[in-house]
Amino acid sequence: MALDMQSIYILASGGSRAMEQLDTATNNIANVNTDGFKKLFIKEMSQRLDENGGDANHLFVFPRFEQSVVDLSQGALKKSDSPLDFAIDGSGFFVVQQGDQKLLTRNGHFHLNQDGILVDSRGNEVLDIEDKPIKLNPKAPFSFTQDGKIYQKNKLVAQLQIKNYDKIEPLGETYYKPASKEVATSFKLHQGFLEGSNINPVLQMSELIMAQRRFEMYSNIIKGLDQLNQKTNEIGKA
Amino acid sequence: MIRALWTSASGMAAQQTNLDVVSHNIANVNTVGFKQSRANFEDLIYQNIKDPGVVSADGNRVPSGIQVGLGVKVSDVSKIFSQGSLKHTERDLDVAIEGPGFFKIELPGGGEAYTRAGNFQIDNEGYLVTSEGYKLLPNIQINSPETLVSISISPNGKVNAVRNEGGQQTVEELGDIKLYRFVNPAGLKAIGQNLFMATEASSEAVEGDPNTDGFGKLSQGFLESSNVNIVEEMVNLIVAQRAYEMNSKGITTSDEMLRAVANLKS
Repeated sequence: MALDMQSIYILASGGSRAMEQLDTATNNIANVNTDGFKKLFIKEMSQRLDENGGDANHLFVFPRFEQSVVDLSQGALKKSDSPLDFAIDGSGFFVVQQGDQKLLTRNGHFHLNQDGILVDSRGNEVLDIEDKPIKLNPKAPFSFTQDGKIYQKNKLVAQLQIKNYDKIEPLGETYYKPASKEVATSFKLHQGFLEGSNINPVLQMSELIMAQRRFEMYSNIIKGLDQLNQKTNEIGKA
Repeated sequence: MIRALWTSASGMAAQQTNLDVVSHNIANVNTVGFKQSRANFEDLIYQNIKDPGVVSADGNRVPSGIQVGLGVKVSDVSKIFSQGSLKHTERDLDVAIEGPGFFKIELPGGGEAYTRAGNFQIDNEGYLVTSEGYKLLPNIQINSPETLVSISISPNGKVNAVRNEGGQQTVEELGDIKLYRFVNPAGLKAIGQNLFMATEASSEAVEGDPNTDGFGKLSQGFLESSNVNIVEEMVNLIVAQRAYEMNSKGITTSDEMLRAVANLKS
């Protein structure tokens, strides 16, 4: 082969990145209405082929993914009128128990189960600051303070556990798991509100456009290189 | 094929359900005792794509962790049992509940259901029934309608008939209306006709007298209107439609990218 095929592989690698950019943007758009959802974005980087270092003709740089990052910015609060809906305004997560696992969530759409225990919409128990489930008397009215304390008949029943991490990983079902050490929280809890998704649809639509155009550029250059190869192969033909 | 195709399809399906729920709310904006529903969403699982130990351009080895989400689904459609506003009807047999309780109704084929709609009627045997003809539990029967002047229902559920017997006014006690509460009203199953059935999620009904223990008091001559906020629902309608459109753009983008792939080979 007359020309080095390496550049086509590099462009193909860029094409894969564009497809994954599209995957991420469509997932964000699909979750534009998911309460407590946090935008996920992907950081790219260039990978150097070390063995070719120094040789300018063969210093190839591949576009690779570095990591996916959860954007923890605040979503808009929307009024829901349900007394067991909570929104965190600030930093921090609710902690729920699933089996022997503790999960984080920003989706404060809670219920009482048949035993009067505060659970989330999948039936997992919401934990208080002592890591215990929260049992409420369903007959008496309850009130929440902005720091998560629950009062019933003027008596403190429990305090919602709110934990904060600067890096988290998504698990699906609006659950997250920590990917860093715990950090300090600063929040206000709002009863009767839910936190909407923090997706900005405008940005996500432009991500879609960028992914597509970028992909078209790569594919056009691949075609160009291919034609160049074809011409080269024809040299010397009668 | 591109994951984004299915991710966007899941988004369109979820918004379709959202639209169903919102239109059901709007359709019932004038239904007595109706409680609005809301569709809740959650993200699907994440796929881990890992490129471990890759060296970046500046020579660092990165601890890579890449996750790509696979879309969205409807997690639940929950009823919101906030109080609807009361409207004055001046009809003796219209009863609204101010508070969280429910009336209990006997279903024709056996079984019990619960309702917030207090627009009662009297059937041919004198029983207090819903507009569908289902009897209120415990039964309240009104006999000898020829002497009946009026029926009074007190805030704590006492039903009295005021009668005129030979020029003399008498008061007859007909019985008590009871109210029922649930630990988790959101777990009730709506069966249509304004009726709800108890499930394992809602727990068993707790019986109580109106105006005690937070069961809510009765207001005769009033009806509870639907708690649907029409402005909010119109906004939800707009959000559902636009979100649906944006998801469809994800599909067309994936489609065009796939076409570019197919065109690579001429």
